Amino acid sequence: MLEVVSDSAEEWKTVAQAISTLIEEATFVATPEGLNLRAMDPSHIALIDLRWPNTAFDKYSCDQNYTLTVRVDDLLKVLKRADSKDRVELKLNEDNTLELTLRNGYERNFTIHLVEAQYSQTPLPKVTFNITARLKSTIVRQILEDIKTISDHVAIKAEQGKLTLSGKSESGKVSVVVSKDNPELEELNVKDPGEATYSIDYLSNFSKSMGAADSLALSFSSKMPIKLEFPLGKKGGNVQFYLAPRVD
Amino acid sequence: MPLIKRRRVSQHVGVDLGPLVKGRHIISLEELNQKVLAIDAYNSLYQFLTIIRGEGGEPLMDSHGNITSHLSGLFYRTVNIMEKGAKPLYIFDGKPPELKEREIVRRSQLKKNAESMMYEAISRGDTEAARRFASMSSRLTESMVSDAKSLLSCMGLPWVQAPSEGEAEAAYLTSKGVAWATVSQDYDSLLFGSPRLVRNLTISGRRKLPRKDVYVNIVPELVILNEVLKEIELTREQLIDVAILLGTDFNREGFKGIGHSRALNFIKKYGRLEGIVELQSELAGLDYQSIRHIFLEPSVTDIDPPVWKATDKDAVVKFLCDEHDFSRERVVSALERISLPSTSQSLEKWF
Repeated sequence: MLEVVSDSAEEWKTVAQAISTLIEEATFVATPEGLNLRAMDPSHIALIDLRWPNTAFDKYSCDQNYTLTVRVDDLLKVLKRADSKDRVELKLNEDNTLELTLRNGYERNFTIHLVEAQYSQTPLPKVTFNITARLKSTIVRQILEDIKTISDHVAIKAEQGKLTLSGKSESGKVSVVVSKDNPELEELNVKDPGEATYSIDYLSNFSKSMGAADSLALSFSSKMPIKLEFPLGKKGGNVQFYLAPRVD
Repeated sequence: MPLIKRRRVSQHVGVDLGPLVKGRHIISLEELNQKVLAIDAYNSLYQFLTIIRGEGGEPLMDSHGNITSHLSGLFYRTVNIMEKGAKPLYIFDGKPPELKEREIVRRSQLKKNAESMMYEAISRGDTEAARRFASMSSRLTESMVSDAKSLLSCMGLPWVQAPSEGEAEAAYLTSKGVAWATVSQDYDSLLFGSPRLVRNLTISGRRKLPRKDVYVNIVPELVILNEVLKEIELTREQLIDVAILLGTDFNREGFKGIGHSRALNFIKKYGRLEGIVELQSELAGLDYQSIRHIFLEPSVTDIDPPVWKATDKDAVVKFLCDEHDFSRERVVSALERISLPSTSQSLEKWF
């Protein structure tokens, strides 16, 4: 038996949005402790790791482990119909369907079919992060849009006290500096200065899916994968996103 | 029509294992990002020569009368997979095993027949038949092969000269981990021990069904050797015996009256060819030990780690457009697709 109730649709919307940037079918693993999801995009460039403890829900009943695979598009379409203030009830039916009920005065009931899982265990990348930073999510989105005007990749360089994000292409170049003087850069910790380049589409799509989270933690090392992380709601949920660097 | 001076080169038809291969995985080109693909070059070039033809069945040609269908296929299809970050490694056939000689002579005769049928169809104005016979008469000449190698070098791509069968070398490099998968339309690389085979990669897209005015979508698929063997409950050695019953490139005719299910049942029942009491007299007339040996101990070689270099755009344009009359506009725009800043690495590197 699996029944999960959230008092706001906001977090579900964020989850569906974030995973839709990478995969078409999502396998959630429900345990008595909470809901989890870990998946890579088909090209294995990016990975998403969602941890959503039972304490983050209004009601969470799960008597054993379940894996449920949904078409992300199906889930996203239903959740787009929800207002952020709607209460979301999710129930796994015995006929292999997922029942989603949106409540806000009246009640709307959706049933979507689960699909067969092509589930495989994915490890997390082993990376020692020499650079960690925390930025306002709005400025991250702005900077990525700035760089996107010129380039489809972004070089991120960390020195003591500042981050430089830049891009270049045949049409020109762009760079943005955020230093400790900018309130948008909430934290910066540089153990070892470094630089790495990443595909901008992945970063930009992911940063747009952050929902209400107002700051974003970013960790990377020279020529290594980058990790972006934001809290999902205020009760312990968490979304991590890893992205491989570009080939030099 | 100018006749091209040609020497005989080995040709691929392969073993028809299709009906026995279960559990194909549909894959997207994106999944091949940063993966090395050992591509059977002759198999691909034949596909291009057969498929890439004009309305009347004639191959593409430059203004000097040289056939260019194989170059067109090799260039545009390779660009498609490179654009998704895959690393192609073309493997060319070397000297065919002696047992293949008879088969090569037989095919050469078939092609000659098809060629005269084609001219006959053209003269009576039957374009559908002409097209069919034209594709049956496709021949790969040594100059086509050397053109293909030149093009790959201009594109910055490594290629490998196999000592004998390209398919065997591709399987060997894949089993050694140099490549992630072999790429071919044939299933022979499974018999040669390739752990992974990708089919329909260089011919994906819309394709006309032979003899019908119907088009189908061909999508790339991944076949995993272990899964195939597990599904039919055979070892690779036993699958080779099944293939010998069905007919391989080294005993094309196979065994009379034996199809997929009988072949499979025989090997399941008796374990190996030697045990099949019903076929003792036929088996006595076939050197099946040598055929097994070709699949189990093929002539292969180790290679230096392959290097993928930047595409020499000017050289590609000069070769394709100046020498072989390709459309400059199309070639340049295809080159742009692979000259984007290099692609992303795979996270697997950090697992």
